[in-house]
Amino acid sequence: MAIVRAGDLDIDVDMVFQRRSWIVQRIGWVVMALAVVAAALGLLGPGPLSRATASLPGVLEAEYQRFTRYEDLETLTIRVAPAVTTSRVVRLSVNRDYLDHAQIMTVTPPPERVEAAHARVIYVFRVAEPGRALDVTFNLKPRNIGRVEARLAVESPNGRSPELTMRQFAFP
Amino acid sequence: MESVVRAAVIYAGLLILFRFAGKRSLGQITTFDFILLLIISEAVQNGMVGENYSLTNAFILVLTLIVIDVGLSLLKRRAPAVEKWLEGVPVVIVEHGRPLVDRMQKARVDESDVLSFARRLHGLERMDQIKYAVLERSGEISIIPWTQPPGIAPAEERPAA
Repeated sequence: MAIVRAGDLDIDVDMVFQRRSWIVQRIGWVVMALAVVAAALGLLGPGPLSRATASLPGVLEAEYQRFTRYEDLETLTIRVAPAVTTSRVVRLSVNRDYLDHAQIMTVTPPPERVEAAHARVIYVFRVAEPGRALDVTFNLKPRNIGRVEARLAVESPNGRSPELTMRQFAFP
Repeated sequence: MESVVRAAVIYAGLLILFRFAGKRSLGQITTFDFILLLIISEAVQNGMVGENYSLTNAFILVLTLIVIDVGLSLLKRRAPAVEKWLEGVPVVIVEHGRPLVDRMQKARVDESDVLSFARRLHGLERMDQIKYAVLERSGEISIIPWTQPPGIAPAEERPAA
């Protein structure tokens, strides 16, 4: 570093640089404070602003986190509307891409069985009280970083319902 | 691969955060600062280690941190600009017994800090006994006392006998 003579001192002072770095430092403080606020609000992971709902009226309603974190447990709650629980079984399909992205740790209630289908996996639940809403909770752990899209649908012998789409972003 | 990335990101992230936090944060370490550092290391540990508790992983992490550290020290020798940005520069905060208030405020150092270092390092009693005080890169304050009491020309300024 350049040693200069400042008064009687041989020293590598650089006030131009120092003033510049003080300015950068103050900008840094603002950025750090904003990051803390964003994290508290849930813009960097689960939190109030991250919570979201999506619904397919009369079929499905989902409560999920827009922002998740890599390998951090998150909860996805799905309510199947009474209109589609009329038979003894409910078949809920989830796109395969999503399951590659997020590992399912637990499903409550546990499905009676899980079926593999083209580009999707079908969770089959036995319904105790047909005609009443059914709540299903998935506990998931994101295994990838970045954007992912979940597509849920209810399937019945008559065909598939439209898809309910949820977009999530997993932070590293 | 992931371990190397984790260690590198942690190194870079902490470097940036601590540069933003400034010298003041580490120069005069209080008991609470020390506790804070312990908590920070605790908080960072999980992010760095992840779920891999193998010996190989531990050594890869340590190795990565050391390689980056040595690499940066070599880079700093070659590129003074890099050294400035990574470590900052010293700042003169007292000149001929006169505190440079503007600089001291910006650097978050006050006169009592300067006097405390002056007492500890040289047993000085008053501000006017200090010729220069320099806030060093490390965050410590160096004190250069007058070689003679003010009023009498300091030794090095007198013509050689």
